[in-house]
Amino acid sequence: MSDLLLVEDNLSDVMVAQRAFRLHGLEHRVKILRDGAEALDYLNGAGLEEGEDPPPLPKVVLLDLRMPRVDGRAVLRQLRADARMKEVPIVIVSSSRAESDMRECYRMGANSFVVKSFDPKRPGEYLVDVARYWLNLNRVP
Amino acid sequence: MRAGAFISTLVIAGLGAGASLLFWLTMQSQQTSELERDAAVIASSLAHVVGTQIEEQELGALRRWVAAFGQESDPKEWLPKANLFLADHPAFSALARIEDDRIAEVTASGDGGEMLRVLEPRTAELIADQISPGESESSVGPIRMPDGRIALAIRVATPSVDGGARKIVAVFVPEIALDRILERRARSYAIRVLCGAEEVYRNADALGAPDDVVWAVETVRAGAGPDWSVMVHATELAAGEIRRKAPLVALVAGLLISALIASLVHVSQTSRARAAALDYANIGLREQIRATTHGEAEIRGLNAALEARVAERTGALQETIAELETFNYSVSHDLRSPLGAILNFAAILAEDYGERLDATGRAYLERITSSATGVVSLMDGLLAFSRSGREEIHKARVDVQRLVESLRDEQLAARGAGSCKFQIGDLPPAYADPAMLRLIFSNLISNACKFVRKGDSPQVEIGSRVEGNDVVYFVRDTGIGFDMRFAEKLFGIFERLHAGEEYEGHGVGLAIVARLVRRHGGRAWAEGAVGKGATFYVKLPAQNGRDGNVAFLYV
Repeated sequence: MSDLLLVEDNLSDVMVAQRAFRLHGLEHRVKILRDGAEALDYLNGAGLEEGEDPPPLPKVVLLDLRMPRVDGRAVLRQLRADARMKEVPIVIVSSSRAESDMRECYRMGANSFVVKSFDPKRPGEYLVDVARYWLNLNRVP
Repeated sequence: MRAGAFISTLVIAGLGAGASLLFWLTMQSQQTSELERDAAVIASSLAHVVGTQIEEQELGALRRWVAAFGQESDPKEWLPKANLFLADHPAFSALARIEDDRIAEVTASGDGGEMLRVLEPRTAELIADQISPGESESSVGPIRMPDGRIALAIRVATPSVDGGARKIVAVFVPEIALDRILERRARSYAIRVLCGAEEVYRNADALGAPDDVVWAVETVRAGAGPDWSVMVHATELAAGEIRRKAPLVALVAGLLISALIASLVHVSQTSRARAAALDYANIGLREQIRATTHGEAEIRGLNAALEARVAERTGALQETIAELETFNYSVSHDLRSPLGAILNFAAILAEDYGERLDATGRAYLERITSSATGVVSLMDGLLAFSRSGREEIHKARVDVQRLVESLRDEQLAARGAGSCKFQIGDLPPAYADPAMLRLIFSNLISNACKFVRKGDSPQVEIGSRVEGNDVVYFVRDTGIGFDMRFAEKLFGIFERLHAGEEYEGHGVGLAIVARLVRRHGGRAWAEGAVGKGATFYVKLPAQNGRDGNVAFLYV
């Protein structure tokens, strides 16, 4: 069961995140998808056999904005337009600090906006902090 | 010169007298035609007056009366109203109501009524001739009164209640009306007025007019009746007045003209030399004016071209600056990601595999980390510097005293309570962008605390002085100071006077300070000596000092 979806195309970021999650024993609860199209396919249960149920909804989606094929904005828009998934918490994880990006994402229904940070003492562990809150504390109806 | 002028004056006076004589003769010959012309003008204006007065005042009053009371058939009602009308309009001498071609009621002033009775058959005949029963229109015909005067019988048909033919007939005596209209007009002129072919008016002057005079005639139409002709002729009196005036006018005119020409000659003689000189000067002036005008036009043209070019260049420059800023921003932004990866993997390498590396390997890894960190900090500085040039300035009154005190507290909290000794003097408020002013002082204060000998704790003095309209704030420290030869370089971007390892920072802080102060219309500079501390100055215009008119009122 994947409670947390990380949608990220940058291999470096993926590797750092995977290590951080592994160090904190969260690797089994995380599913990594490498772009928006992959994320939408997974959430919509593409490639499932007839009668097979789609996977249960994740507790949170960590979504990068700049990705090839289908970018973060498109994923955000489609999830919010989908009756089944419109309440899934979405955290934007971006290297952008532009206020216009933040404003746009919140307007489109993002639940949180996190700027990618580099802490040489705890590489990638800010994602663990984010994950702990959404996995353990946050509740959805 | 004076004798010459005198003789000239005499000659001119003689010429003037000759001119007077000529003028007089001309006037004599023109007099007759002038009088006739005058008579024609007067006839025309009188005809206009007679036409409008009779049509609007007299016949109009009758039409209005008929419209109001024409239906009345009870003698007790009709007679008082008719009498009232006759009293108000003296030119009407009688009013009659005619039913089926018979006089039903008559009222009159003077002998008008009697005349109506006498002329009854003629009236009836006229009515039968000219007015069909039931039609509502008026007709006018001249009749001779018993006293010989010509009157007009005016007939107005009105619809009657029982369908019978009803008319109102009025006797109108033009002489009475014209007497009133022409009483004060055109004295000294003989006036006759004809209605159709009958003379209805003749003034006192006309009574004595000789038979052979030529009358000026003007004819005008009034309402439905016959034409009115006004005939005018100037009497001997009017002709005499003009004749008497003529020689006098000629003489006065002659003298005036002589005097005028004489004085002109005099002036022209005495000032001919000056005039020549002036003419010469004028030619020069005109040349100059032409040259100046030409030059001005040229300058205006050049200015316009220059302005257009400046505007064009400014636009292009602004575009370039905007592009540069965007480039700056996106480069800084895009480089962060790979730099972050370097930092992350260096950290992971040190943490996960550090044990397998020897001391040299770990030192190399540290160089990777510190270099990448330096680049990240450089990027941040670049972004901050870019922002300092891009962001809009929103000026407000800033309490500099409180601002500096809060920055001091921040410094002490960050570096330790004993790291710096602060001495803060009186700091007047500034009129500036609050966030930008905070950045300015924050950079200066943190520099003052930063550039100190290892293990030393510097004294930092912050104060101000007023210079005319401006306020100069200063931040003085007892730190390492600098060589005055490099005073200008201090404020350049990425300029550092010390090795990177020794003091943190990336050489952007003072560049930002200089840029922000400049954008506020002020100036930043520094004084110092190696080992003897440094003083940084920031000069800001006082509130509205540069761009407001209000401040000048207080000066």
